[in-house]
Amino acid sequence: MATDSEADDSGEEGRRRFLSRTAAVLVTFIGGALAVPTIGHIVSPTLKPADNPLVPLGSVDQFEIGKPLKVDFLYYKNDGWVQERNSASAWVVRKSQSEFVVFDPACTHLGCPYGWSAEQNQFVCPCHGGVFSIDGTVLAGPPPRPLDRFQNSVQDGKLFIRQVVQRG
Amino acid sequence: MADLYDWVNDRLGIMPGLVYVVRRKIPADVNWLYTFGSATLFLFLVQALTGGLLAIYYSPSPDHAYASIQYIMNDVTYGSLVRGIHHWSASGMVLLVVAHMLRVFFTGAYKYPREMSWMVGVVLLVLTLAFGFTGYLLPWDEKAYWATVVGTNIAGAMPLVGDWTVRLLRGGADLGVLTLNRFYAMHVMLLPMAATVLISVHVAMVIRQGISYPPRRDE
Repeated sequence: MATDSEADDSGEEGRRRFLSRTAAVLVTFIGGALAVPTIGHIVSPTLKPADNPLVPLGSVDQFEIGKPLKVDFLYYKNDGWVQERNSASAWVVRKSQSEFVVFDPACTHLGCPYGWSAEQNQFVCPCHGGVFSIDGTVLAGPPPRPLDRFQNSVQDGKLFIRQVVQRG
Repeated sequence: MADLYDWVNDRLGIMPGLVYVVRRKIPADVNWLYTFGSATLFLFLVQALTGGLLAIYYSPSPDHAYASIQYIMNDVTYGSLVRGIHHWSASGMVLLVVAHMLRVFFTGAYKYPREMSWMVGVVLLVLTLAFGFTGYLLPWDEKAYWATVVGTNIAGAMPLVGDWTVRLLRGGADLGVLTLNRFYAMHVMLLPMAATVLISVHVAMVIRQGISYPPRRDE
């Protein structure tokens, strides 16, 4: 029976060494070739920039300078392969012909929806008495920081905001 | 390496056995036809790895299955590569497992004392085909849907238990949510567990018995 028991002659040894080294190189190559897509596949969601699309809030003509207006809007959020349709609102303050500030409608204290008091010319939160000025700074009460904002821009007479809230 | 060898061996005493498994002698006159079994095992491991990766993003519901695969193909880093490897390795595994069976058959390697390896191997062949059949439905596109309608209809040709078997396979009278879910569970849970156990037994028997040498004229 012919087995490789005569493997101790140097030619066989050389062949054996060559084959095991070739195998090691191939295994390393295949392992690396599998590792790169494996790691890329797993960490894929962390490689993507956060989704922050433009959301239209309508014509700029609806906003009067110095008179905050609360607007409701719909926005679409990508959750993997699912597109969610959400509704939200924002307080829009028109500072001048072309300059806007858009506030997140949640009080920075505990997230209650605050309102605009025309008599006081201030934003007032009904829950714990937080008071904000028209530019969002805290005037009274427990809120720890100014009102949160949406980035905004004006294009072709329409006001747009970025979906993600910026901390005030 | 020598230190690691000693460290493990001092505690478990299994290293000479592992070295025996890797260095065990094989007949000198075997040829490339004798690599189909190992190649099939390699593809099984590739399928386990790429399948696990696909399961990170795949959603087995009729509402989401197709869209989640579009997501894998278009949005996941290397997603199309991973799915491509899974797809082609699946076909390759069926080809190799059949080639392996033909080699064992035509070299008479299934005979005494290796009948048990053959019998376990036949079950593994069926499991491989079951992997292929259940995996084919998961993309939930027209081809997958109708291939499974036709495939499950074939079971209906059986006398007496045909209709019941079709309902068993589909989880109901028609293809739907239950079909996709049970095919997915079979594909990623039950079949892999069964295959892992049987492959372990199959390989353990090969190591225990050594591989058969090719038929020789003088015997």
